[in-house]
Amino acid sequence: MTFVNGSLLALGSLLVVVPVLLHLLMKRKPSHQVFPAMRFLVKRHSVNTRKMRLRHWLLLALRCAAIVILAAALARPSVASGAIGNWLVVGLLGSLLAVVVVVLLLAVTQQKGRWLVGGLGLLAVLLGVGEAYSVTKALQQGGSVLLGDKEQPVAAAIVIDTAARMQYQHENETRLQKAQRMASWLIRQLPKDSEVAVLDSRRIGGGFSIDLAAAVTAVEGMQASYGSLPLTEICQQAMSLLNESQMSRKELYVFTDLTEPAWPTETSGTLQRQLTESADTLFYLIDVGVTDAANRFIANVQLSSEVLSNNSLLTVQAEFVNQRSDSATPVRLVMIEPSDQPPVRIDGVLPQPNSTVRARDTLEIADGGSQWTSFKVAGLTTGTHHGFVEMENPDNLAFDDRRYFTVEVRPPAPVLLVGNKLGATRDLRDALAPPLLQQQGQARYDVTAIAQAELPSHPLNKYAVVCLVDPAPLVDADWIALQRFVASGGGLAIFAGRQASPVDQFNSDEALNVLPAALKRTWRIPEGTELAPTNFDHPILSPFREIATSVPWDLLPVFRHWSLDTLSGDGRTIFAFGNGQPALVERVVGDGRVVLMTTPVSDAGLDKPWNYLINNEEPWPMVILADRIMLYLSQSEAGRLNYEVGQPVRLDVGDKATTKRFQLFTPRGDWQEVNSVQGAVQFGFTDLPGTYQLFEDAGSGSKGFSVNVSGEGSNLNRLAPEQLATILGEDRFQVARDQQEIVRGVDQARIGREFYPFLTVTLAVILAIEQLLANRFYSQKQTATATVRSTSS
Amino acid sequence: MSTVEKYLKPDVARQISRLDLRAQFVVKGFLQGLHASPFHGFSVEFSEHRRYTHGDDPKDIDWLVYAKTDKYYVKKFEAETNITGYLVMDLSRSMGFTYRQELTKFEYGISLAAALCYLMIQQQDPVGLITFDQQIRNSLAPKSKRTQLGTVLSLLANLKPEGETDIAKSVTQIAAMLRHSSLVMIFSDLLAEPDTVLQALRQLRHGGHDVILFHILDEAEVAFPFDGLYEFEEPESHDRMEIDATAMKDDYLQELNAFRERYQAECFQSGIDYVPLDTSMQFDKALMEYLLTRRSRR
Repeated sequence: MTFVNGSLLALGSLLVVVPVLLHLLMKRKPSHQVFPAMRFLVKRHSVNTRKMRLRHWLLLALRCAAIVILAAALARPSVASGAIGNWLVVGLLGSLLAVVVVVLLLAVTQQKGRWLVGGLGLLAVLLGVGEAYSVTKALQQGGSVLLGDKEQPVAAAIVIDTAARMQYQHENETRLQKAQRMASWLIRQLPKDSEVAVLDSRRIGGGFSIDLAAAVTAVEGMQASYGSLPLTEICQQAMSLLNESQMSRKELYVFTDLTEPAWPTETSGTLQRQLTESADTLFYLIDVGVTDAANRFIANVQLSSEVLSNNSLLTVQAEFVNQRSDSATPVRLVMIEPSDQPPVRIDGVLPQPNSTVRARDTLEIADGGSQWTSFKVAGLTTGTHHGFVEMENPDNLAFDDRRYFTVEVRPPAPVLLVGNKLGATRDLRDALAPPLLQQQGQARYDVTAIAQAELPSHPLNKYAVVCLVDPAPLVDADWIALQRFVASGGGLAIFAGRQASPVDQFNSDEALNVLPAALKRTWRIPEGTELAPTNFDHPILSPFREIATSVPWDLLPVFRHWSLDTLSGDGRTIFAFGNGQPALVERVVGDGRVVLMTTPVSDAGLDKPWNYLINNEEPWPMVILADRIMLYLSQSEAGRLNYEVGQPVRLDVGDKATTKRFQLFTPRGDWQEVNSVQGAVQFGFTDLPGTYQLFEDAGSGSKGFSVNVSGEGSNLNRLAPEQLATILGEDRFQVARDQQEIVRGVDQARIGREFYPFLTVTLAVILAIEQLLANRFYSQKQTATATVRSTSS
Repeated sequence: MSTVEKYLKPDVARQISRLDLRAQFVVKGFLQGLHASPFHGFSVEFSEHRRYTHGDDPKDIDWLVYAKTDKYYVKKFEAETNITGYLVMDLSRSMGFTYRQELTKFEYGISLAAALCYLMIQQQDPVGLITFDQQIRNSLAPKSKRTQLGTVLSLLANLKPEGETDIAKSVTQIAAMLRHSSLVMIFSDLLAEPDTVLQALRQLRHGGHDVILFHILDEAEVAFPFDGLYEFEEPESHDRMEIDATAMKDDYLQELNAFRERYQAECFQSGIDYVPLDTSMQFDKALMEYLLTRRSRR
């Protein structure tokens, strides 16, 4: 608690002696009255005298209180806004205590019952303890803020939300521009010698600016950032900065559009705790947002596959969302023409790449609704292709009207199927490369099938994957050849079946260098079991992740399978059967991978088949599984091409043996050199949405990837006041929308909440009570002078 | 308005005439209550002799007896008079008090006394007057002549309530002084120790006198209209007391009522008529009230 005129308080309080002296020295003379029947008053006189004395003291106390309160009111005490509640509690308890004490004194004077007096006494003691505790608490909480002097330097942290949605245009300026304009003005209003730290949504840490001009420059230089942190985290940093400052007065200003993505509930706990601990720090939210902002945006784009085979069809699905905007939404898909040449700025301007509109559509999206639509793109040649989906009509927020994507078209991966008998590989071949797709040239795999007997003489190094379909025991030379093939980066799949016996011969030493585990014995389940994957983290199982509960594994029964011995050191189970026995295990050998399935996929048409994985009504789960196994073994699934802003990128560039130097061009046309490490380029600064291109040499073709902003970043729904209170704490912040509100709020906060009105009201009440009591005690209504006169005329 | 007429307001006499008091008083010995007196009229049948006392008409002296005994005796006749009334007036200083009324307690008392005096003279009853403070100050022998009215009233008019009072002692003196059964009408505020006063009254009543006690208080003494801080002074002792009148009002009224109720009860037991009055009551109304009460008690 501080006082504007502190000296008045001490001086005024000294005046308390005046009524005391008046009471002692100038005791008011009662009205004189001759009264013959005085004998009737004598008996009750002593009680009456006690009452009178109490009333005199009560009046004296009221008059002293009036003077003290007048002095206090003129001294203009004030406390920090956050502490006003505590002081009001103090005042309330004090008033109650005063009332109880007066009643107690009256009870004592009138010799009321012992229980009543005791009860009142106990209540008075309890209230006294409560009052003492409240005063201590209030003093502790509100002690350090310097109030009353608006020109005292402050430590101020200016936090400006620079998230992409702050580019929303309204009244000819973006939200960011408005925030910058108001923040610059605010910094200029701060008292001289103040410390100012300027933080935006990108920065973690930072410090106080050299002076106010530097802070203004920092504010004016801010740009929208696409990979922004939520404001709760930035505010935590700002609070930590302020806590380090030696200034006694601390203020935090946050310029925000008060939208839901800016203030996530889940990260607000720490900030709330900081705000509670630093109750003296003034916290202002300056609302630069727009109520009921209208926006349409593309929330999501999904590709049928990021890696395509030659001539295959690309399906692009996009989700469009409408928030309070027009429902008619023309959209289109555009493919950028592949270029061998890096982009070059001409006169400082990056020319638009050649592009072709490949599809168009017009959507009707209701207010508040969303709609998916799909585009099909055919005829993509081998190489990396970039494109984007966009809305043709611009709106007030441009960045989310376009989403980029990148796909890579590769030639079919060569797969060698080796069967004990030639017919054994038929089903698997059809699953991997359906005849129809083969005819259209769209098959993902170039499948070659040979008999096991041909394996020793067949060159393996031209294949990406070798599949042993229900193999008979192999000679050591074959296992050695396979081990070399795998170690150099090839993939080996083994579907073990009835031919793998005698098992001791199958589990030769050379075989165990390749196999994830030795086959142990065949396991019969007459009633059948099923494939029972539970964890879908493995890349082979990733397509089933979204549909885990709806895959009809029970239609693919397994009656026999091999049980396995202990897995090799680097082996692991990918998934098991319903009986708990391993179904698919893997092992890494050198640069390649080996996958062993303990039941075959070649039993269709045989007597007493080991399973119905292929030959059943719903074979698609096994088809997908086989496809994913080949993709995994050929290591074609690696190389994600579409990222969100801020995510680190890893791009395969082939050749693991040598380190190559690349130029990476950002969407803005800037470039930087990056080196490949073990056949991949890693890049950590994807802070711009768009297409990133990677060139090794001019004319050698490019690789690349696309980066988009998360759809959640376009949500312009504003927080309700109660939500904001939940996130930041009740009554812990003030919201201002314009400069006048900021000035008013800051003035009030720096001066604090004054007690002047409360004290004035209290003074009026005390004076009224004093007047009432005085009138009652010294009533002059009957002033007729009595006489004792003779009867003589 | 003459001094006499001041106390004899026409309304008073008129109202009493209407009640035909005379017939009731004379015929049935109303004022003597349970006093078993014979019918007294103007028949002049000799009854007895008695010593001449001051105030007796000298023409009633029996000179024959004087010749024989050398002492003055008067002849007493049956029904020589109906009843002898004494108006007993308290002269204490406190009687001269009023707060906001036209009449002090004393003035109120003598107005009432005058009315009764007139009433009794009208029926040719002898009326005497006794005044007292600490002792008897004046004594006017009862006479029934019409001139007596003027004598009594002129004496009353010249009285001043100035002294300290001793009601009990004075009443005792009166009891000793009165030889014949009389109607003693006492006008006092009774602001004295009630025990001794009541004792004296009982003594008076025991002497065969009929006693009517007119307890006259000021309206302010009955209503206690004071509010706020007061310093009260007792007019006789000059004792002072500072009180909060507002807070004391209820207590005072309780005490006063208890005082009056005690007199009421004690007087009832002793056969004394106790008439509480205050100066805000019209004195003629007070007289009416008394007479009606008196009649209803028969």
